[in-house]
Amino acid sequence: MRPHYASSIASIPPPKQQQYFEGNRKGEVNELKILVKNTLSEKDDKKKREVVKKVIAYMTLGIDVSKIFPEMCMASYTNDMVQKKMIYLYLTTYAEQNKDLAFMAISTFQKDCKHSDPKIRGFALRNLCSLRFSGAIEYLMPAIRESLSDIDPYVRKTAIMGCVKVYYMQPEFLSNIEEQLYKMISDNDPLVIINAIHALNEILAAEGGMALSKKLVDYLLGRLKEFNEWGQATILDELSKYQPKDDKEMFNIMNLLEERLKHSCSAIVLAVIKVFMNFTKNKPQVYEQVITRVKAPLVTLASISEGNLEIMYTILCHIKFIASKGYNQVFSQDYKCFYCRVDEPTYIKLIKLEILALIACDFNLGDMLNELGEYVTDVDQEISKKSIQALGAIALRLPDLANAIVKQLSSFITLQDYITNEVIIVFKDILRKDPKHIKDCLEIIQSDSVTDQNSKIALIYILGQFGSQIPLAPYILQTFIGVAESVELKHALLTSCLKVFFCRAPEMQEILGQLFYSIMNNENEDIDLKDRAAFYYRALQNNPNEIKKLWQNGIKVDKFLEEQNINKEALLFEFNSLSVIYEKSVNKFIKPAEYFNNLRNKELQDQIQEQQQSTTAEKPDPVQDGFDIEHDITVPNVPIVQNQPNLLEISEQPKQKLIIDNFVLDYRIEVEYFESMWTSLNNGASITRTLARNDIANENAMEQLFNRYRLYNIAAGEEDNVLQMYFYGAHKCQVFFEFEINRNLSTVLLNTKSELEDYAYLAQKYVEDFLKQSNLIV
Amino acid sequence: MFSQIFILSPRGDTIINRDFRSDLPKSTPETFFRQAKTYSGDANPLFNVDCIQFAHIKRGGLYIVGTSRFNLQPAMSLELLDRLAKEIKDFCGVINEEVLRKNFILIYEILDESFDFGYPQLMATEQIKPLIVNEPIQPQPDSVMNSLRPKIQTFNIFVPNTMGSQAVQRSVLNKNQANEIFVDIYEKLNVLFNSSAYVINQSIEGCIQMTSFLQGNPPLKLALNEDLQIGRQQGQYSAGVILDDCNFHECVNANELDMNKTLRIQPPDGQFVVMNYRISGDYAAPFRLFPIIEEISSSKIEVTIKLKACFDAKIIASYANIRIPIPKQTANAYPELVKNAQQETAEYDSNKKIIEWQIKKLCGGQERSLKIKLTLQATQTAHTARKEIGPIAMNFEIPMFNVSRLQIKYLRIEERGNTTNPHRWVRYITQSSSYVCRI
Repeated sequence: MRPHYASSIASIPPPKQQQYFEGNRKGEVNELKILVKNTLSEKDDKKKREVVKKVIAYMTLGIDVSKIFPEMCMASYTNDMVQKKMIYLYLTTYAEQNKDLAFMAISTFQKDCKHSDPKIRGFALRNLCSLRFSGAIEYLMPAIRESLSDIDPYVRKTAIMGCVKVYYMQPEFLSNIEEQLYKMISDNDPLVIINAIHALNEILAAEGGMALSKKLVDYLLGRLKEFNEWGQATILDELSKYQPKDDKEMFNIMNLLEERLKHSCSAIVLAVIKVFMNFTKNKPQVYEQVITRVKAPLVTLASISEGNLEIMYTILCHIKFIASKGYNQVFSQDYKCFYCRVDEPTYIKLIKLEILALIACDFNLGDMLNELGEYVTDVDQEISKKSIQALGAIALRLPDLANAIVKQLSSFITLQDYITNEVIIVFKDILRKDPKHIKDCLEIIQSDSVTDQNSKIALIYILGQFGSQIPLAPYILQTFIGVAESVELKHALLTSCLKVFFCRAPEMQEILGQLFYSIMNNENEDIDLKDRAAFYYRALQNNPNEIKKLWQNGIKVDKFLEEQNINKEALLFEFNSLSVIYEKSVNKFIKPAEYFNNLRNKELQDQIQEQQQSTTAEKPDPVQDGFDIEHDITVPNVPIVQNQPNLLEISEQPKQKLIIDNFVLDYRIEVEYFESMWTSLNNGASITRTLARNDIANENAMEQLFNRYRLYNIAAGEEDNVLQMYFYGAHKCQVFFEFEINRNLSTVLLNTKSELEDYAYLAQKYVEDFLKQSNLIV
Repeated sequence: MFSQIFILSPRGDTIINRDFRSDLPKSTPETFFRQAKTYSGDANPLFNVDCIQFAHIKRGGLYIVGTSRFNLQPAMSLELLDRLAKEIKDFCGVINEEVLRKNFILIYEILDESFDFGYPQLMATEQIKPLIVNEPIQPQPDSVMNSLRPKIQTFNIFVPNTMGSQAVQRSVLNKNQANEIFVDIYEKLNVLFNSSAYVINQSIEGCIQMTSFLQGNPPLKLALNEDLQIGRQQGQYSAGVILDDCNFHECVNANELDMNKTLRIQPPDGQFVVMNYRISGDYAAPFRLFPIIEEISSSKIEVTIKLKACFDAKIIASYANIRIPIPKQTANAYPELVKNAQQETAEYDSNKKIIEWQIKKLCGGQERSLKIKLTLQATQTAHTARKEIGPIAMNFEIPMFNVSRLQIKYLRIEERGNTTNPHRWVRYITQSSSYVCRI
């Protein structure tokens, strides 16, 4: 017999398809909870799938559906794999927030871990291990240990990952696992081996990861081709930590790996290159041969990569890295491969421009200047600016060829303002290094299209430094005086005006006077600037010649500090790592796990707080069930009522116990009434206990038992060894129960609802007590 | 390895969100999207925010993102995401927002088999296939990525825009599908002309791509041109097909390539690229552009562009779009087609200051031309403005044509057994990658 009302409740129309992602309101979660609860007893797997799917859709959207945890736990007893997979996904996601309820789910996971089908064993184990709460460990470890020696590799590889998961929860449970993991490296299945390597690296991270012996290296290299791309890349990455004991071994390994450079998977190619580089890093000649050898595969990957732009970008970053380490001439021949193409995104073009700047040399410069010149007029301003910077960088690096570049840059002045702005900045750097180019820059310097703040400062610097050679210098400087500009610019202006004054005093005297006046008589002027101006003013009054002498001992720049720093730091970057991409050393962008744990905990707390706030603002939430049961399970002998935590804002709760006389004798209601009440009430209590006695766990016995305690049965049904019954009763208010005995799992489940939540708790306790007395539960 | 993997829509909505290691904040999708939007163009594939590493690829407009707190191997992480995208494509037929939303449960399944605790696990389509219980839900036929192709093609991965590709847009889970294999030779051309139609730079990037629906993954033998040569010696001239360099997929054994120009392939299910190659040598460009600029007066310029299709008359380019940037100071522009022009349009986009010239079909040997009359604003003279015209970028696709002459001589299916002879479809497609004429 099926519950005669359950099916009618479940006939709430199923969610319309395609609506999973619409609606975003939290109130819907309550509706969803009811929907799930009601659909549980449904026979139709298709309908159930739809409901579970809806829950996952909400979860994906980031809506917190953790309230439905108890219902989803119950739903996990299904044999339908489609549902099971979804439900397990849900359970593993929310187990962390529902630690105590998660116990309910464990038994299903455990059962599935013993299934005859290895696919299901592996699947269940993977999910069991993903339940992220410490209490699960004791159930986990036996399952993992058993599965590590499972006959099927799918289960074994899952078990290894399980070890890593346990390591992050409670590492002490993993005593001596390393030995077993090392043994598993000789497994037949490649994936088992790779997972064992990953596991060892994580578990032994403090000691620098897995230990590599020559024997192990030979063994892994011998089997290299059995592994998929990712496995190979992992092994090669391990290998890069290894140091061959002599040249013979080194060359043997390198010869063996050379053909892997022909692979289309960039992960493998880069990993091989890293091995080569690390092996030969103390042998400059061989190292250079290595760089020459790996050029072609790198260029190929950088120009094709199956149209995978993201990979192209990564490869280009690595090429730039190699070129910037002093091997730029290796790529000089292939300069055309680094020309920008119309269909490439900006990030690729930018890195290509940086590479071009690095690999420019006497024989390719002619072509390259034309090409870079074209980019200057690109519609994308970023590209335009970068190409000007590239030209500047080449001029700095190749002083012999700088003249041509300066001339070319000067020809851009008639174009857009942003071009002039950028050119001025580049000129400043070129002139700092080699002042002789000033004669080619005159035209652009005296044009009036400099608009950007930094460019103005660069211009002011140039005017000051080369004041004697620029006819209009004093008058251009004059235009900046008294104009609302940044303090930084005014500092530069002060310096430059003084410099020009020393070489062109007659023209500058009045202008300098204007400047002093505008700074010192401005009430709102920066105090530091004012002081500086006053200082110069008085010094000039005192002894202008002495100041001039001091000032004119200029500094000659041979090398730019910025350049040196970058290169030095770059030597420490690890090839094939994010350092190469970001151009930062690893400690600048990697933080330890604790840092993120704190972030996460904070996030979790915020969430709980938010929930509690909304709980107190609205009505009590079923999430509270969790707290209740927590105390119930861990300290089963202490009565709940006394131990009720105050967290729940229901501290007013009467500290009383219900006795049989509180209940109305022979209270009767209609089925329809029960249905409507059960659906409309969404606050209640729920517990799960282990079934202790089988002989009375049947419909008749239960009905009699509840009757004796003045609770009356309204529906009952049994299927697949699961007995489900609904009861009701009334004391100060009505109470409704859903009662389930699952003989498969030996569990007893009780859901209680009432219009007043406190009474639901009391009634729950009342039932629990008499169930204990009858020894049905412990 | 990866801590989380999520897939976001172009607007930043989360479509898929899987947290493997629970060691990073849950708000990473928002963090990612906010950062990605700070770039003026596409975001860098790899960046970090507050020491959280983000690796992402963009496919079908969607962001496929992996996060981590470790110093990842950058290429590996992007290759993994790319592999994931290919798996999704194999199972769902195509990859776009609608399909992902409809199949999100299936995608969670794929994700869970592909990654465990963020480490790559089974990543080959045929390995995962037996573990998948959900069926793919096909999108409504009328909404399949509406067949309009973008006016100016964004870089897409060797996906033909016009050729009937419905056949390969299928799920590998489709049970009653034919036992067949599709082989495509794609070539992307990169040509740079100067104003006198002289080629400054040219190269070809090509690949042999297969989409296998073969039952039982039988080994294949693929034979290429007999005059094929890999690696170019400096200054060498040869009549044969010379590839500068090439690389191969994991499933390919290229040991016999030098000897008898054959590749042995153990094909996985679904789509994969057998071989990539690049050619830097000279080749006859399939289209030639001849721009002529005349200053009619100080405020008027006339631009004439001639296009010539320099290939066999039997070959038909399925489209050719040409884009001509004109000066920012243009007051007005009138593109004029030749009288009786058919299947041709020319439009002036006054916001972007671009002339779009679109030709629907073009047979080999034919010539087309376009005249543009420009009127400038008073602030600029024709003499300075003409510098701002161009470069002209061209975009096309030519089916059943390839420039390199790389050919598939035969594709043999070994160990065929008793089953019927599977269908083998071979196509050649040539597309423009960067086909530019400077003025």
